[in-house]
Amino acid sequence: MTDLNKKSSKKNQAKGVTRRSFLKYSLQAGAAIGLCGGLSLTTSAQPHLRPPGVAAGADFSTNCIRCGNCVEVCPTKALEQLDLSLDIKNIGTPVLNPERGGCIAWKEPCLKCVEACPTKVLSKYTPIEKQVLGVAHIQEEGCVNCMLCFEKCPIQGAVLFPNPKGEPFTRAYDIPSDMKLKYAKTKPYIDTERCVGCGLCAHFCPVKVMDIKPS
Amino acid sequence: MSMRYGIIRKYVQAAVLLGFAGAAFLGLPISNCSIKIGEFRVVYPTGFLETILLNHRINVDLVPGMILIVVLLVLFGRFYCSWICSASSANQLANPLLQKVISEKRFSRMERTWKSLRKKVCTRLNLGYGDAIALFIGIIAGIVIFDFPLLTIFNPIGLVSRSIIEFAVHHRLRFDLLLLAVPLLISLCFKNGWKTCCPEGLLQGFVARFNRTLIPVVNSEACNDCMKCQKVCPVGIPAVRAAHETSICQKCLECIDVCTKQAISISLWGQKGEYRQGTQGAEPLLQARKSGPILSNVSSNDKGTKGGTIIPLKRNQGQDNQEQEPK
Repeated sequence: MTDLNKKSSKKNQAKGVTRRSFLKYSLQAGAAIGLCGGLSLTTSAQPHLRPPGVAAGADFSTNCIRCGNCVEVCPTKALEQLDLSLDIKNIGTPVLNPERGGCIAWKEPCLKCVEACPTKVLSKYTPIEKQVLGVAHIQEEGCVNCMLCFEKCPIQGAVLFPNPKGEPFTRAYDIPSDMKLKYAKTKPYIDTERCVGCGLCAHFCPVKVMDIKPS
Repeated sequence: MSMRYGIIRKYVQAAVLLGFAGAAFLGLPISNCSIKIGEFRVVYPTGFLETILLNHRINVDLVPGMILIVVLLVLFGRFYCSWICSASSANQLANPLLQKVISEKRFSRMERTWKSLRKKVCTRLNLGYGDAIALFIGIIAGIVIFDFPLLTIFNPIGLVSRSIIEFAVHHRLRFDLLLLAVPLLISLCFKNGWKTCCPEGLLQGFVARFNRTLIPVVNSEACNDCMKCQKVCPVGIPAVRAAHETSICQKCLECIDVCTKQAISISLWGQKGEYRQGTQGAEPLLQARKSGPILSNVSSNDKGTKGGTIIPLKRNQGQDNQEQEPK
């Protein structure tokens, strides 16, 4: 027995794993598992405005490798990687920030972020016409009727202007000039059915009364 | 050695960092985490592994890039860690910068307190390679069980790379650099710091153990056992053991620079047994060191029973020799 014990202990020493260290290792592994579990419990998922081309059913928190290639190639610099936030699971995943820029994919063929994505989160097989990133909203107080949102919107009819004599205006130059005055009571509004949430209006809004709610 | 590998390495590290920042500035899909040239993509192995674990399928587009990484690892070992890795470069390039920003005296004082703190924590915990693997396995299990992308969020490469991109594109630093505190605190507990337990490094190490090139070879006749090579080594292996530890040697070539006797040279191809050139007389010493507590988890109590005592003795002798030399 003693010989056997000696032999086994020698073997263990040679391998570098004794019973004690095995216990230590399993404790450490358990701590690592606990860390993952604790963090996944504390994370609070929030909706984010994502870049275009998100594949159906794709989840950024698990599919994205947070490489930042989409942020690098974006021509309008609208994308950024989610910074430190309570949504721990999504830290580092790309989000569209209207303060930095808007997505021009509906204006001209771009989708550079989709081409750059090494994973299949952003997929070129999702046609741009069928995509909606979010919905814009204009706060009427503070709006100065500058009509920049009309000019910048890539989709005709997404930004509307109330017309007392019939259908709402869809083009800025149709609107009578007395209604476009800075302090006029009529303000533009968004057609939530048509808006794709590209963020261009919010980016160029000079008084920052627009925001985009992610869908 | 007339060639200073350390300086060359510094320039390469700075060039790579600037290259990534420049690529982000110019809008090229090249970052430390993922490189796309034409249709060819290379992504960092931890990200690749994590997507497999979380999605339960392999992304076929990324497999050629992974094969390239495996080939490079077998051909050159873990050179990535000391020549390319943004986190490691930023860390090393930040030291002289910090020295300038806060005065040199204060910096060295801070460094000393940090080192003594690490020594205290280390001798108590005494964590090594085995513990790093245990933690890694735990993290892998945690990722699978909880569907939580821990590796890509807390990976220092990702943290630094994201900040480089953000700095180049939006001219600001990210708050999630604060998360670097996690690897920093973990590094406190490990004998040789973060480099022992870096998940990216561990993953690369599993493949790099088949590497047999660019191995430091010690000329035993010139070597005076001062053990400076072990002190300067970022992963704490003496040059004589480098051939055995290809899975952790980072090919930084610091040991060649630091050797005052010029006893270490680089061999383009080395077999596993061939770690020392010269006479047979050095064998007993070598045996002692081989069983020494370099990577194994020997607690401080066991020192007397193992070869561990021989190393400090020899080291002291080496230092004595050096001190006597100038007289």
